Formats: sequence, structure tokens, C-alpha cells
Amino acid sequence: MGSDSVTTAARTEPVADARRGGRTIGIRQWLDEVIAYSELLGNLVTRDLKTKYRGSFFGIFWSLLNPLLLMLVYTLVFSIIVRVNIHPYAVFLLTGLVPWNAFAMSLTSATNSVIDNAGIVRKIYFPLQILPLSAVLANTVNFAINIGLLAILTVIFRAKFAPTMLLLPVLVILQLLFTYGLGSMLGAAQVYFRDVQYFLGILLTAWFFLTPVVYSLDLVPPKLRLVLAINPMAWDISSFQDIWFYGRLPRWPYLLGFTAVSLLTLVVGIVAYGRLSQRFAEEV
Amino acid sequence: MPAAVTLENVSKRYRVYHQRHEVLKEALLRRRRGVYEEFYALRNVSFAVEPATTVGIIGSNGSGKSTALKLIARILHPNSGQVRVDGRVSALLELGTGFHPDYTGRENIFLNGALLGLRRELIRRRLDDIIGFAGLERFIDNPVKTYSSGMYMRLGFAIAVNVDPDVLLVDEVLAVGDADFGQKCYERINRFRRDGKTIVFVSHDLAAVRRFCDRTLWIDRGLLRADGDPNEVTEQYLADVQHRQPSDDASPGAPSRWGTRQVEIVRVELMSGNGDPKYVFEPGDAMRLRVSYRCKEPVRNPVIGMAIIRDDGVNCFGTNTRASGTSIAEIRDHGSVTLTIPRLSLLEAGYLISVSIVDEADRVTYDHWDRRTEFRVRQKKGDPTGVVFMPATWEVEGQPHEGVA
Repeated sequence: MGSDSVTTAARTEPVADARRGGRTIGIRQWLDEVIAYSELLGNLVTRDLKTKYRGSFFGIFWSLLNPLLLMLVYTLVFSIIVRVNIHPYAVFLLTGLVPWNAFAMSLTSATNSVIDNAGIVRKIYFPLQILPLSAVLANTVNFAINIGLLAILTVIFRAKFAPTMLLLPVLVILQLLFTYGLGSMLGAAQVYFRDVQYFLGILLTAWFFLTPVVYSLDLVPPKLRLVLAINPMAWDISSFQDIWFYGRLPRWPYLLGFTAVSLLTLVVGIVAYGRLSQRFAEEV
Repeated sequence: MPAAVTLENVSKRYRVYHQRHEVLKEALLRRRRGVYEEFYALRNVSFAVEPATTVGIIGSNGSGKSTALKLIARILHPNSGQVRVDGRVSALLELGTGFHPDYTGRENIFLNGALLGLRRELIRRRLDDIIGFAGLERFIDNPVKTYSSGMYMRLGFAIAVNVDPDVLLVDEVLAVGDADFGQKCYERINRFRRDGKTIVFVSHDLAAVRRFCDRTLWIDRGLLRADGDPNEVTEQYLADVQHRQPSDDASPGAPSRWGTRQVEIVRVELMSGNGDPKYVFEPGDAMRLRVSYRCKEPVRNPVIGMAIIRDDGVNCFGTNTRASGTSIAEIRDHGSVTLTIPRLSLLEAGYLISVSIVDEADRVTYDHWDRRTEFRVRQKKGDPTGVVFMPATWEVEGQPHEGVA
């Protein structure tokens, strides 16, 4: 633990709504607490990974099997039945599907992270921002494994190596910031409104098809492209496709736009979560 | 020297939602009224705990004593006022919280230790101590879902006391587990006291409060009612519990009274064998329970029943007028019935009494008071242990030797 003396203060004037009365958590405090509890963070990530596949025969291979099966299905549909003119389609698809899956799965676990840990939230003090963070990080391990799978398939399909592929870590990190920020907001909202998780399920399905994962933004008619282009995940995924599949630099407005949106989401997420988390122990 | 724990004009309100699913709709429509009510769990409570003292907090269910503990532990945040803690806090609010059922005992020690803020290195060094203290050497590599509740608690306690806090918060946890382990827990807590740690503990166990505390706080419906010598404060509390009118008791969430009120219970009194008010008994004492009722219209064939529940929820004894062959043809206006228990066969613990008046077929509940009357059984050292008091005799090698088991 960081400091020896702890002050839990609230404004002394009577406040009708606790959310207006609390102290706000700053980015600095957020970081200090996460560092102080980094071992807990590690433990929770391990717990998530261990329990996810415990008792299943294929274990961690499921996390590879899932995108592989999806890849087979979509490849069947879009390169044999519908005949989209992208080759090799399997690599193209996986380039978008791997980051999208990581995003969707992280967001779902982050949204449920607080209520899934209701027992400890009610009874033990610890920095609560650890919960969505560990959910996102546990899925990031899967993300990394799947990127490995993508690399192997890229070699197998003899797609050419491009220096722009080295930009991959930048995109991964930006996406993580975006996911954590959004996941924190949804995770906190979920404590107060249990409908959030159902809403999120539907939202993610629609969002998937409005994001160029199974198709390329190039295939979209220019008029419609503007509509799709207001979607930050479209900026993210099409940048992945640019640097990995097409071997070209990402479209700068998209990359810069996604950077800005990610940072904004992160800050708003941390601050909003910090405020809302003060009543988690009594609401969850 | 600054106080170890300070509460200054602390108030804490909770929201009680009428219908949880309405919350989203109301939030969207920006109509807040009527979705929830607020009630004060604590109202302007101030106290300071000096370093190296042990303070007990007592009060009936829902009085706000656990809220106070959670505020000190930083799990809850006050709506107004200030909570200050000087030093490292460890809270034993519930043992085994955060255990993962599929993890082995050993894995859970690391997970739980991390939750409590312990460094991995420190846990590794103390691993043998923890396992030994919990007495789980043979089972430590089995998943905890195979553990009995006692083993679970023991492991939880063993981890939690290794936090090395400056301020230790304990909530009722010692009431659980077997007698041997309970003894070990108390010894451990005594060691904390000797080491000059500050302890704040919440308990229903007034005997333990008297034994351990330097000072006792009584929180009653969110207000600090008394603060001082443990013997005096616990006596005050018991006297109040005995004379409390049931309508005063407002613990939200759990209705402690229900029924059609065709017959109303007016008063429930506990007495000694000769009719004096009494609320602390010894094993083997006589106990009388008088239930006073009133009704506007005459009611035929009512059945009056009672049950004794130990404060950890164990249903110890229950009887009613029909079961014991006492038929009541009709009651009108007001009156009372008295149950006499010539020898109370219970051992040391806190107990709660429920009383109800129902119709002949047990279909209509006229009035039910759920666990609204409290009493304690206190016993001398060396008395028997367990749940019930049974007269028993030992014989040694053919030479009769009188004594109670």
C-alpha cells in the first residue's frame, strides 16, 4: 500500500446525491493505486485465464479455435458464395477479426467485471479500477495469442511482409486504451442499471457489421463510407487492415482520430468510474 | 499522539430502491422521485479511537454498526463528515471472501493475500505459518470447494491476520467455526492487543465485548447512544433491548413483523422463574415468556407459537399451544399467555425469539414478530461446551464421581 495515512473525506455540506459529493479520482491517483496493487492485478488476470478454460478438454486452444472457425465460415461465405474480391480473404478477414474479437470480448468482460466480483467489492477494500483493468488485460493475453495465429496464417498464405506491420503494437495499445475507458464506463453503469449487459450484446452485433471487418472500407460506396467513417472502431480496424494486409500506412485522419478518441475515452472512463465506484459496495 | 481512528460528524445514507428495474427508465426520463428512498444508516456519528486500544461496537441488527466498520475500512464513503485512519487497516468482515472455489487452498492464499494488499514475497515467507494456523496441512492442495465451512473460515482467518495491520477491524467473524479454532482466534486477537494494535470490533457477543474491550460504543438506529465502560454500556444495551417497543425497530429490507393484525401482539416479555424481568440466563435457569395480545373482535381457536433462534441462525427450539395440547377456544379484547421453560437447556450464545399468533389451520398469520426479542445465555468458565445443556454424570472406575459433563 502506498501511504500510511489514509483520509476518506467527503464534503461536509449536506448533499442530496452522493455522486455530487464525492472526491474525484485523478489520473495520477489511478496510476499510484494500480502500481500499489499490481500483484492483485496479476492474480486476477491469472484467475480469469485459469478459470476460463478450466475443466475443458482443449483448454486454451479454444481461444484459437474460435477465430479459426469463424474464419472458415466467413471465408466460405465471402470468397466462395458471395465472392468478395479480396485475396487471400482468410488473411484479410483475420486481420480485422482478431482485433475486433479482442475488443468485443474485453468490453463484455469489463462490463461484467464489477458485478461478477460483487462479493469482494462489498467486503474488501482495494482499488476498484483493478476490476475492468484485469478483465481487459486477461483478454489481451488472448489477443496476443491470436496475433500469433494471424502471423502464422500470413506466412502460410504467403502474404508479403510489409514494414508497416511494425506499427501493429501502436494500434494494439490504442485499442486497449479505448477498450479500457469504454469498459470502465459500462462496468460502472452496469452496477446501477443491470440492462447494460443485454444492451451491449445487441450493440456489439450491430457494431460488428457497421465496422469493416468482413468487408473492406474500399468496397463501400463513397456516400455510405462517410456514414461508416464516424465509427471509431472503423478507424481502428481499417488501420489494422492497412498496415497488415495492404502493407500501407494507415489513413492519418483515422489514426489521429482514433488516438484522440482513445485518450478522451480513457480519461472520461477513469474519472467517471472513480466517481461512480464510491457507491459500488452498497449498490452491487 | 493522533487517534488511530477518527469519525467526525459522519453520516451515511443508503438508498432503498422500490423497483430496481425502474431505475433506468427513471434516469432516462429524468424523474427521480419515488424510485428510491433514502435512510440514514449513520447520522452525525463522531468518535475517536486511541492507538493501542480495543473498542467494541454493539447494537441490534440494522443499527449501523457494520456500516461504521465499513466506513473505517474505506469500503464505503460517507455522505458527509470525515473518516480518518492513521496506519494500515485490515478488515475481517467476512472470512474467505474472494476465495475461488476451483483454486486449491494454496492458490487461494496467494489470491486472497493479494486482495488484502499483501506482497507475494511476504506471503511466500509466511505460507507455512498460515497453513499451520489454519490446520490444513493435509488439504492445502485440494480445491477449496471440497472444504467444509469450518476449514474455509479457518483459512480465511489465517490469511487475514497475517496482514500485520495497525488497525484491525473485526466483524462478528469469531462467532463461527468450532470451539478450538474460536479459541485460537481469540488468542491471536489478544496477541494483537499485546502488540499495541488498535482493534475495533463489532459483535453481538456481549460476553466477548466485555472480555476484550477497553471501551464500548453502542450504536442505535444510526446514532451513537453510549460510549464508555464495556460493562456499563452492555448493561444499558441489554436493558434497552428488553424494554424496546417493537414499532421502534425499523430495519429496512427485512420485515420483522407481518400478519393481518386481527390479533395483535402487544408485548413480549422474558422473565425469570419467579416473574422478574430477565434477559441474561445461565444454563439450567428457569425462563418464562409472556406474550400479551389484543384484538378488536373475538377470534376463535388461535394458536400461539414461539421459537428460539441462536444469533447465527440455528433454530434451537420451537413450540406452540396446539402442539403442546393447550387449546384456546376464543380470545377477546386483550390478555396474555405465558410459556414456562423450567430448565433452559442452552449454552452460552446470543439468542433471538420469534413469536406468532396464527389461525387454527396455520393458514392465516394474525401477527408474527420475527426475532424481535433478544436474550443471552452466559456461563461460568469450565461449564460444558456445545449447543445444548444436558445434565450428565461421569463415573470413574466404579467409584461414583458426581459432576456435570
